[in-house]
Amino acid sequence: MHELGIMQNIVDTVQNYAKENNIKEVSKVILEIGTISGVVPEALEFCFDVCINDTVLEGAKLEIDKVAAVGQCKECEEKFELIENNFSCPVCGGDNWDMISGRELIIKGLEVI
Amino acid sequence: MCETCGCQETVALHQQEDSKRKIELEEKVLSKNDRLAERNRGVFEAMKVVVVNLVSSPGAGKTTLLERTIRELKSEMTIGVIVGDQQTDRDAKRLESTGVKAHQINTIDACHLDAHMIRHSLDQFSLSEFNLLFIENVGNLICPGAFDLGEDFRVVVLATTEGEDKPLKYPGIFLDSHLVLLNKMDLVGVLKVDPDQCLSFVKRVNPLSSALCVSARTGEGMDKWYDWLRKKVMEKKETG
Repeated sequence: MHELGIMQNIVDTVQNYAKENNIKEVSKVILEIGTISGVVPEALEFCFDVCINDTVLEGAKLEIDKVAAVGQCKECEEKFELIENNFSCPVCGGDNWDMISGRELIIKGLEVI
Repeated sequence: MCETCGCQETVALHQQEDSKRKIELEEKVLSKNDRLAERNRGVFEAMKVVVVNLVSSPGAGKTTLLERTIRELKSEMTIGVIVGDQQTDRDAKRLESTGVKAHQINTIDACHLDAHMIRHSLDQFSLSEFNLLFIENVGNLICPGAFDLGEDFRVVVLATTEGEDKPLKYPGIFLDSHLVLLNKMDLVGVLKVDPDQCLSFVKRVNPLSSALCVSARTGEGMDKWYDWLRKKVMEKKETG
């Protein structure tokens, strides 16, 4: 359960950005969270409400774009969802792949007033 | 009537809509940790000390493995340990009883060590005197995976008592690991677990990871682990 610390990090980053750019109110924060990032989106949502009190983010919405864990097979170049396929290529059965996505932990953007 | 589009809404609503701006940030949430980790890495590089971040579930045997490793290698190299737990200095005391310097970090609320904690802990060590620094992370198979500490190698200790399929169920921590130590091999007969299947799951999640079967209690297979460490220490000495 490190989502509280992660969310505090996010709120701090947004606050610093707002201060530097003279932004008075942030109405939305958009995150990109990979399914193997080690972070639970629902827990982040819960922590968001706690962390934004008395900040420029107060009242803001949180949008979380979940990013699937995708690998590309080194043998046949098939792109496949890693977890559903138990980390092996559903086409050729190969276990050698490059990670394309799934570990994202990114503040994608903001909506400000 | 609204002057913008002629609708019946109040002017104020449209003004608010118009004044909303989208800003692209694309900022990594853990960028601050990543920056500090890079700084740590630079220090380790300059001091030519090999740093191994040991991660596992609670009770997989990290401390027992370190105790034995230190006892058997300390005549060949200078070893230090940073150990993280939520509470108590029990592990640091155990490790210090092997005759090396150990520094305990109590994370209190946090379920992992981060690069900032490590940075401060380094003040306790005169790093240039060390060949090998172990960081025994907080026992947790999820959270430590997200935090780069600046280490050279991440080693996952997985116990046979955890069952074969941990790598598939908790892939995150295995994705960046350089080596997996399948510990408690002395219990395989009792548990009826299949170590080969477990190792095949490790390979499937991370084809680049090496794996060794060990028992920190009996010493079985530990020689290969020591050879791995010796090689890493030697390679770092030879660079630059």
